[in-house]
Amino acid sequence: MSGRKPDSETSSFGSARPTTEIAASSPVAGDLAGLLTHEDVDRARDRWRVTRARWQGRGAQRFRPLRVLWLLVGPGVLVFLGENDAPSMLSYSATGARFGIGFFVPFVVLTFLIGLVVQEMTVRLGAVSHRGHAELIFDRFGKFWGFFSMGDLVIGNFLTLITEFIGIRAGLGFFGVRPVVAVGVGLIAVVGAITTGRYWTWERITLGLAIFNGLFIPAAILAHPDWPAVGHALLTWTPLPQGRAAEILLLILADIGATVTPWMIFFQQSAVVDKGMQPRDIRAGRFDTLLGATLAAIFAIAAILATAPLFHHGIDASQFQGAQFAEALAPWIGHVGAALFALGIFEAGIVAAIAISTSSAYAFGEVMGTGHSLNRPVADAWPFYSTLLGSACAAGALVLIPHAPLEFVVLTVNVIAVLAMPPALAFLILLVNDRDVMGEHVNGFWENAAGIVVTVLLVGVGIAFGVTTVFPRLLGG
Amino acid sequence: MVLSLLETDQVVAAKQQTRFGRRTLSPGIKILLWGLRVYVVVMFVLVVVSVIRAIHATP
Repeated sequence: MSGRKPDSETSSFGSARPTTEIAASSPVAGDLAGLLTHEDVDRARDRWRVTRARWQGRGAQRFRPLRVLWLLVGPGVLVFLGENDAPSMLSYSATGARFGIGFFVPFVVLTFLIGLVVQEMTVRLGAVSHRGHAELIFDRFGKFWGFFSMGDLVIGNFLTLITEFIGIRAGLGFFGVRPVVAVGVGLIAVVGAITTGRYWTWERITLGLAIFNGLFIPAAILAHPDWPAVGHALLTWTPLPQGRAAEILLLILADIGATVTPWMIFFQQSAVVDKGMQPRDIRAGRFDTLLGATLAAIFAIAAILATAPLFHHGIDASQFQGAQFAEALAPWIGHVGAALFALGIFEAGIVAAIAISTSSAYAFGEVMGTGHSLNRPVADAWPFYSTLLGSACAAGALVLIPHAPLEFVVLTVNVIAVLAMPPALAFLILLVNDRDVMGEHVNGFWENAAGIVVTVLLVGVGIAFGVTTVFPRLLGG
Repeated sequence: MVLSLLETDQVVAAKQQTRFGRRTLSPGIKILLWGLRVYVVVMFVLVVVSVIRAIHATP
């Protein structure tokens, strides 16, 4: 199955292969020394911090693992908290409002386990190949399949970006902020995160914003959830959701799409590369991904618990948009709780807007062969930064158009994400089994089994959605 | 110092000059990729149908 085109793909530096050879030991070290860029220097600075942390003196030995983890945590936490974006938190909120505490609480945990299986592969792929996902697809599968993948990503990312600005507008709208000001705040956040010209600083700023996804926890506590019911649901997956099967299926799809989407694969792999991670960092990268999935699952369940009072009081939230959830919850969780909920929706939109626009910019730069690193100053990588800002500005502008039918974008964006995942997963699994790329870090049996099960599951759920769309009366729709 | 901290493939100049190269796709993989591509196109059409139905159903 594997093979490489000889000669046409080689250069004086040889052809790419999975190796941990340090550049200073390379036969072309002399050539490379004269070709170093700003990006190389910044990445080396980040690597020096990790190396120094690994070799700290005896006095600091106790904290050495923690210091190394602190330095290497980032892409995994960002990708999962970024995926707890505005439409995702609204999907979880709709779930809690419609079905209360029951089946969907452990189901959400399951979706994050699925996400963990997928995202762990991107850590290995990025750390070993030092290539972004789009770049690898173009390299190994050619332009035809590469442009198909990019098409899915571009469409999905742009639609999702629109929903992030809808969330930003809705979240701040609860506080009486005008839409144009809210969108402006969102764009300022995107611009502010990238002005440093350093991946490390961008990552830490975005992580600092992402942790506010935890605002749903105090909102949930203020809803006074039935904790024994939460424990019962986690253990028994009951009570099962009651209602129209088509509606339940749509929420299942939306909740899966709230956790696994193509942009996550492209983003985390590119972020791992930009962060300069190496194969020796894979274990830390796995921890980072696990930490991200765990935090995101907790915050997602908190959103379900926060809106459960709407279910218990028989409030029909089926047509609710972002701020309406907060307003409807105020009688039961108080104005402070409602304000925290609204701020959480705003934060979800901000962090996802930053992460998703960066994902698009990475993919564009990888495909076009232009500079694509947050370690590059704007002047050195203006196509990268233009794509990043341009996509955010276009999405923000659309949200300000009066009477634009944006609610349909919100409804469908998570469903589209699930439907676009199977081909993305196929490329991911093929790449991570490619020994020419991965060397000894190829998937083992269980990793392949998990990946294939996830792909089959997503195809099955998608087909179920398709059948109910073509035959709406089949499930009582 | 920079070169002693980065792997060869992490250096921008080396990465720009090297490629992993095109892999040979077996007939099975081609069928899989085409099958999934048709699946996505059909599903996107169904999403559009679903949205149009929702628009018409909205008062």
